[in-house]
Amino acid sequence: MAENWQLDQFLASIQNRAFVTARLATGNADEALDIVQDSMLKLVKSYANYPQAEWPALFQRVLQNTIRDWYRRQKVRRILFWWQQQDAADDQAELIEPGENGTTPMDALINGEINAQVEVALRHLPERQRQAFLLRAWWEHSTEETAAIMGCSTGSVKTHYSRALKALQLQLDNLAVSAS
Amino acid sequence: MNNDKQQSAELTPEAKLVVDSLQASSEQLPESVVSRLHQARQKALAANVEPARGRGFGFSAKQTIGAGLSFAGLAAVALVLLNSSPQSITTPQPIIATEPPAVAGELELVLTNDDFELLANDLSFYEWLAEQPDAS
Repeated sequence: MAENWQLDQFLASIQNRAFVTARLATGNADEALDIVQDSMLKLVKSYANYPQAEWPALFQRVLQNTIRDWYRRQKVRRILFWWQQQDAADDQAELIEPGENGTTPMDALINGEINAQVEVALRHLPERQRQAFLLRAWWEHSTEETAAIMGCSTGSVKTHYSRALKALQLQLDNLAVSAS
Repeated sequence: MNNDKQQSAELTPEAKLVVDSLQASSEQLPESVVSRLHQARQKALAANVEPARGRGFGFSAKQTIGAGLSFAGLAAVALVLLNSSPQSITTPQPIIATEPPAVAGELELVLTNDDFELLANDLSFYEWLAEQPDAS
């Protein structure tokens, strides 16, 4: 049985990134918090006895599955409550507005604008491409680990990843030049 | 793995911008969000402790409830069997003639037709008496 302090340390090290990942997928902070909490619970209940070295990949798999479940529920909800789609779209537009980070007003303005554009670019990617990009580039998982997490072949991961890079390049070309 | 590391290191400027931006976002989350993430973590960790407490005798909650219900059922059957003594089942009980209670006798008197007739007679007598001129 894993010690609680080990689990605590691990969860503390990934909680913020997990939240941002879930928020990118859902576009909603509350939904993202629920997803992160569910994922943490599932990891502790089902995989606490697994070797500590496997926790990052296991947590990713749990997180991605929980996000997928959320997408499925949203799909059903969209079918059942189709007339509320416009309201939901308006809510999402509000969520990606800048100004969440607490630096100086000018930094906040610049960083917030960049972050908002980056989030928009990421949110425009197809789900699998976004997953591949986040897992490979940000979470720094290997291609094999990413393939295991996404439940596909390494070839598919490479394809999704390179397409994501190209799409981001097209969308953020001007931004990258001005930022550098 | 080396190839993977190289691939990560060879991010395009746009990809690097995205990664830097995401990293900044995750490091500068609002206090309210960090606090809720902390609470979520504590809840998850509590789930790691709870099952260990329940595993005292190696039974799950469902097994314990099932065993409790079975025991209660058996106890109820045993009580019923003990209360019905073997004498009452095997030997016939003597029938003891008892006097009918007084209330039953009065009811019998009231319900007979004769008594109703008497009552009717009495009423007509009292009506006749009331019609008589006062003797005094």
